[in-house]
Amino acid sequence: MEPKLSHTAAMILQVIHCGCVYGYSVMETTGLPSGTVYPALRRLEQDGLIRSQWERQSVADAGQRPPRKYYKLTAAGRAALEASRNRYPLLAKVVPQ
Amino acid sequence: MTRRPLHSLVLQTAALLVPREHRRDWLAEWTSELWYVSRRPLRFCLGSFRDALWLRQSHGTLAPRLQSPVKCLVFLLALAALAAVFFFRTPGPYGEIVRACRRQPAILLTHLLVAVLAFLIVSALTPTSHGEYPQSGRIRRGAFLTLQFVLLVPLVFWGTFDLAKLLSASGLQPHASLIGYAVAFRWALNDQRRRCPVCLRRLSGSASIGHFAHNFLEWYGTELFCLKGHGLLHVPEIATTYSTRRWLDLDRSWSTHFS
Repeated sequence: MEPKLSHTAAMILQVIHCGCVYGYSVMETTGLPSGTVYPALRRLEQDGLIRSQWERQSVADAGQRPPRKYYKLTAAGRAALEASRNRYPLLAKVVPQ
Repeated sequence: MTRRPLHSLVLQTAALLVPREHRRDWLAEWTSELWYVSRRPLRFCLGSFRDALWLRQSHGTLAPRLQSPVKCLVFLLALAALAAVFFFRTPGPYGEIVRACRRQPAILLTHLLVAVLAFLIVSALTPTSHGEYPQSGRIRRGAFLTLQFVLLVPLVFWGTFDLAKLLSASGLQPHASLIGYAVAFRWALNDQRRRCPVCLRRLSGSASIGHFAHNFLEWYGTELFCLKGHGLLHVPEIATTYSTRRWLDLDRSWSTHFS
């Protein structure tokens, strides 16, 4: 059974799919507050729709910044996003690819 | 990008709510993200509380802290102590109160009146009847409820001053305190109705019994039990003259089924 996502969750999946791969960039693109974005990311990860990975320390050190946690869509996440696009036809317009 | 210690303090405070096994990773992510935040960093940090609470709730680790009466009181005491530390150690709220009291000593009475007003509103809107409940242990239950109130009042008092300070909105405190007292008192009254009359532990295993509007006059509602096997609480979905909350004592023969 395909999961039914809320509009917020679908929007977050869409922006991750479009290349906003860490929490703050998701916030910046969607305009959602931090208190909404981060719990939503955890819920999506718990449901297996996205997975997270810490950036390598050496890469962050080279950029003289702290390492970031990156999020990526899983196969289930891509399928859920595809289904959400049918449910929310304006999704692609809100966050264009 | 450098950050003021206040932001780190907010994140570290929120981290206390995160289950221990996830705390390090959680704090690392928020601290890392904060480094990149260019606009309204404090607002960004305050969102961490919602995230921390979500994690705490989704891992089901908040309920055990409130289950035993002693743990519940210790948890409230810890929260009150944390709010007190913020209140007395950060410049602003404590000094303002002292100055305000010197100018107008009745100001503390006003705060007390806000608490009383919130209590009157909540007691008018929240059902407090226990239904068919054992009369024994009333003093113990009353003492527990009183202790909860005694801890909640300073917690809300200090907590709302801390919140107003964090948000740099001193005008927020009176409104926040009224709402805070109302929420806290309502929680305490509802919590009292969900405790075992024998051991005062929170009842568990909430199970729906019956079907909504399936048969006329058929009982339907929720059943909860005490983990120590002291009894069952039947809570009807709709209280009527023939169907009210009812506590059913279980005798010792049931003890083998419980821990």
